[in-house]
Amino acid sequence: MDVIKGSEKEVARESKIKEGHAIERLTTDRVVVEEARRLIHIAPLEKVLNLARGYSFWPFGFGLACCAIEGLMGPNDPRFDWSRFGYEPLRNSPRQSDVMIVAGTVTRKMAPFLVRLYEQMSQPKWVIAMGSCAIAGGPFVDSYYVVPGVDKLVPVDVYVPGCPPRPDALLHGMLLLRDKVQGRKSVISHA
Amino acid sequence: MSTVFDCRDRLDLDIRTDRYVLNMGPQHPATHGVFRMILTLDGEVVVDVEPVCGYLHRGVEKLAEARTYTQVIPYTDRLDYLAAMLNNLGYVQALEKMMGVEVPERAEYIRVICCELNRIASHLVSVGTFSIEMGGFTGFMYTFRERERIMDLLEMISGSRMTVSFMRVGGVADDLPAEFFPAVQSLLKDLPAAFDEYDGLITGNEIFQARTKFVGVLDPRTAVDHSVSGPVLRASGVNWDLRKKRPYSVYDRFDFEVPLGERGDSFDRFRIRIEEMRQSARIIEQAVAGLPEGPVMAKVPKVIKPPAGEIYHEIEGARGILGYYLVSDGSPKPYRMHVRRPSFINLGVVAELCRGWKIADVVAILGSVDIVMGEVDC
Amino acid sequence: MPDERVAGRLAALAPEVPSLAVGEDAVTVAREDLTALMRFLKDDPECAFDFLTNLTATDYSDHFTVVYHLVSFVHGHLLTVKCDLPREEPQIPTVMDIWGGADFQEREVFDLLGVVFTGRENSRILLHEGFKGHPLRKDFEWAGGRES
Repeated sequence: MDVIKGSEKEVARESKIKEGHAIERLTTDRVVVEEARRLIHIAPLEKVLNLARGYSFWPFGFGLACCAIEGLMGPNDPRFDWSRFGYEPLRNSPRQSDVMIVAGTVTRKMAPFLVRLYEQMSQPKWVIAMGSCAIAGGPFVDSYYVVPGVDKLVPVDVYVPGCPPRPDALLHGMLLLRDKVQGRKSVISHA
Repeated sequence: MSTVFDCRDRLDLDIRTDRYVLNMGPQHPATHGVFRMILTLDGEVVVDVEPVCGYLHRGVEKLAEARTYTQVIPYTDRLDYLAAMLNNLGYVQALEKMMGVEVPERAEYIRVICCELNRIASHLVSVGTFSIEMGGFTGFMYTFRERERIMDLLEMISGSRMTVSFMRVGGVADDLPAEFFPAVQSLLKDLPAAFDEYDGLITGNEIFQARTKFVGVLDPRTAVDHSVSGPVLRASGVNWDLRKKRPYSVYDRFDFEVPLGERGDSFDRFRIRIEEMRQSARIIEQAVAGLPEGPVMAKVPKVIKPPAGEIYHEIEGARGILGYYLVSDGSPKPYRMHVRRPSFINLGVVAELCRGWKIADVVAILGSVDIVMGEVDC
Repeated sequence: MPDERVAGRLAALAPEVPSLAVGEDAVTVAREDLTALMRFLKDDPECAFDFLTNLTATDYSDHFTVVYHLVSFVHGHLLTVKCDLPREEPQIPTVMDIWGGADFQEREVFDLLGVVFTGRENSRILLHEGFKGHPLRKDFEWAGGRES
């Protein structure tokens, strides 16, 4: 964070700290102001919506290969249970889902369908590339029929490495996506 | 008082139906992966099914020609990814036959234990997903509970839960760790009760039975003619299990039964898998009890170079007869590798089974045939 | 090597199927006699090869070889049948009407190797309809691969 004295950025930051809570324009009663500061947060609508979105991703069941077992069936089972995080409704219609978990190898025959289904998903939507095959072609990268990575077709938000990644690795990936969506600082996880 | 009301009976209605084509897949929750069926329907009744596969064709047979024999082992995992140990076994046994390698006894027992564990895990997925497809999500939860325990065991043995790459030419990659034995004993103690639980929850369920009994009947002659194998074949009453008919590894030392079906319908195909799991648990118990001491790997050259020639070797995979056809030209890389995939060949009979049934029954039939797309498409 | 019983029956068949050769590992036959041999192997009660377990082919650069692995559920014996095809004209009669299980496997061989099965409709099964070429052929080239 560079602080160049007198820059526009610094002036804006300074004024924001001095600015009180909006309630202070209505009353100066200390008790009311304290309670209001505690209970009422003013934020852009998008931030609030992102908060909700991040806590309730509805994955799109796009299981292609082995990763589907670990990535779509695994987190559903009683041990890993992603309904703890609110990600349980695995919807099969692209219209009703917002995260497309590409779990498995994308072949040249499947590629057009993947793109079409991605386009059918309504905004906001995100993509998680799960497993080596979805990230970069995996062990099949030099095959005549494999697309080397799903990011050649659609934009990807989170990459979850592994072959296949454990269900907890995918859950970690989904939590990273949650952080990304909610605006918290999280770009690369070194866990 | 019956609440079943069919207006056609009461009012003598003749419903006019039209013929149309409906696409099912390749992205579909009940097609067991990226599989597409183009259904020709007359009203709601299926007239014809055109199965379209290949959406997961990764070119494994071609890739194998560019890898060394040992490097192919991880690719075999990813064919039938639910029963990776079995895929490994078929491949390394084919090579051992070609090279004349004798596997130490302890390795053979470990192989049997791993394979039967993986067979149970694979059937658990089959049973669980079949339950979901029939509408009962709870069945999936219970079967996967046991499956997670098996995954833990596989991780203890090989380091990976699913794509294990554990077998090697001449034996297995590593010995069983000490913590494996109490864990497997604890699992074997709990499995019979778990199987009874599935019987109560799924097999005995009225709706499940109504949806699967007499649905998609496969008669034995058609099954044999269409090269169907595995639980699908045995459900039709044909007694052909390679572990008994042409025993490989040390299967002839264990006492187990081969369950057979009577009607060859979807219910039988499902029930057979639960019975097979019980038998697999028996085999594991005997194998763990009789595990001999010794090395887990035979003396094999560092570079696997089978003599020029060819071999075809079959084992009883989780879904049917899994065969490996290898052609060697004396070099460290296979000249040709072909995998005889049971799911691919079993798929040939699905179209015939579905004719005359409704769309919901198509899901039941496909679920009972139990295909894995990694194996179908290779 | 083929079972004694089968070998005996094949010897009896030899006059009708002139190109038949019983080898150590497999029985070879020319494509003109393939249908006659296969029908015999299935229908003859001593052979009774009712189960076609594997049907595949290999590209040996100057010729193709189609391999059939047969099993008899009745007697329990196995047999391998091989048939060589010239590279410029890889055609062979279908055995789909003898064993229904040959359907998908023949389509796969056509798809990946380009061997045409006469007497049936040849259509791709694994690759998409517009795919050019047959990948398992030794001279198949494709773009892409490991990024070095």
